[in-house]
Amino acid sequence: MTAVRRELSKSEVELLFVEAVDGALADADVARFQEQLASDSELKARYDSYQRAVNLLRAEPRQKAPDALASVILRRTRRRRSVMQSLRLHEMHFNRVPAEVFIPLLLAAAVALFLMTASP
Amino acid sequence: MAPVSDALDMAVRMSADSENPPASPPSAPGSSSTNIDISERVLVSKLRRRDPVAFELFVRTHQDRVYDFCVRMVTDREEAFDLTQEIFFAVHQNLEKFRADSKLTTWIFRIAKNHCLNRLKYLKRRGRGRSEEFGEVNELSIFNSVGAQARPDDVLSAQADRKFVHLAIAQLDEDQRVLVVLRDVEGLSYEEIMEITELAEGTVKSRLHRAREKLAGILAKLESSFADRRE
Repeated sequence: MTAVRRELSKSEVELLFVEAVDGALADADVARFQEQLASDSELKARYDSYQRAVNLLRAEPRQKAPDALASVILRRTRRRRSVMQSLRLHEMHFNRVPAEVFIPLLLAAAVALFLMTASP
Repeated sequence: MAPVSDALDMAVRMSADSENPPASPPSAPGSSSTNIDISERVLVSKLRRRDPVAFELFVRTHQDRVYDFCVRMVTDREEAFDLTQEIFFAVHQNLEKFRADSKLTTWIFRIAKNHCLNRLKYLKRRGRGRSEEFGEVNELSIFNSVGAQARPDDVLSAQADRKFVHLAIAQLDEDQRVLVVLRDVEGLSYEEIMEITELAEGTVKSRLHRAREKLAGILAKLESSFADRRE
């Protein structure tokens, strides 16, 4: 008895290739996939070049960050932190005397100064 | 790399001991995911409080991965250098917005992906006025540089493979490149990629498949023209 083979659909190929490359195929599917590859040379060639591409990507050595990178980042963030701190400090001092108190005080001081200078 | 991550672990463990006395009984040995969660939570809270030591260790621990991702994405080391700075700066500025429902690494990669895609758009508009890098290397220059001196065949072929991979990645569309780099170069899980790209699992897999097939085609073409030239 010969098994009836049918062409795999596009989405079946996608799933099989992705899972085969990830080693995520179930045992039964591995056997079925191997069978498909053995019977379809075009599919096998496609899978071989697919697998080779993925293996090359995975074997790629990592690019190491330049030595200066961390210090540049830290310098920038430190600068920002100090700017933020000084802003906060400025805000704190500015907000110590609220405007509704500060403005009448300022006016009173101006009036007092005027009276002092105007008096003989 | 190892001493930095050791130091980070130690810093995190020390602060966990001193600041957060355990509310629940210690987890059983071997439950490493819980330990990672706890140490990451401590790290995040230290980062949110703008602890400079924690931030320095954080940068030193993640800079290579982020830089590598940027180099693959923009195919230019100078651009990647600038981008990595901007990414960490954005992380520093937006730590308050980080929701602890995802991993810190996933969050950084999401920021990195957005920065890289924006930069690629900007470079495309500007006509890519960058330094000569993989993206702009043409086939001829690869053949010249790889075949320039007589070297043992396997060294030559490994070097050629690496250059072909760089060139092939650069020829992918940006969205395809993101998936290939995250999955096959950075080795992230599908769950992490789904979070970073905000795509469904089926979409990730089918787009990744198409990207890999395209990449395999480009590699085959490059290899055959390289073989023709060598003959």
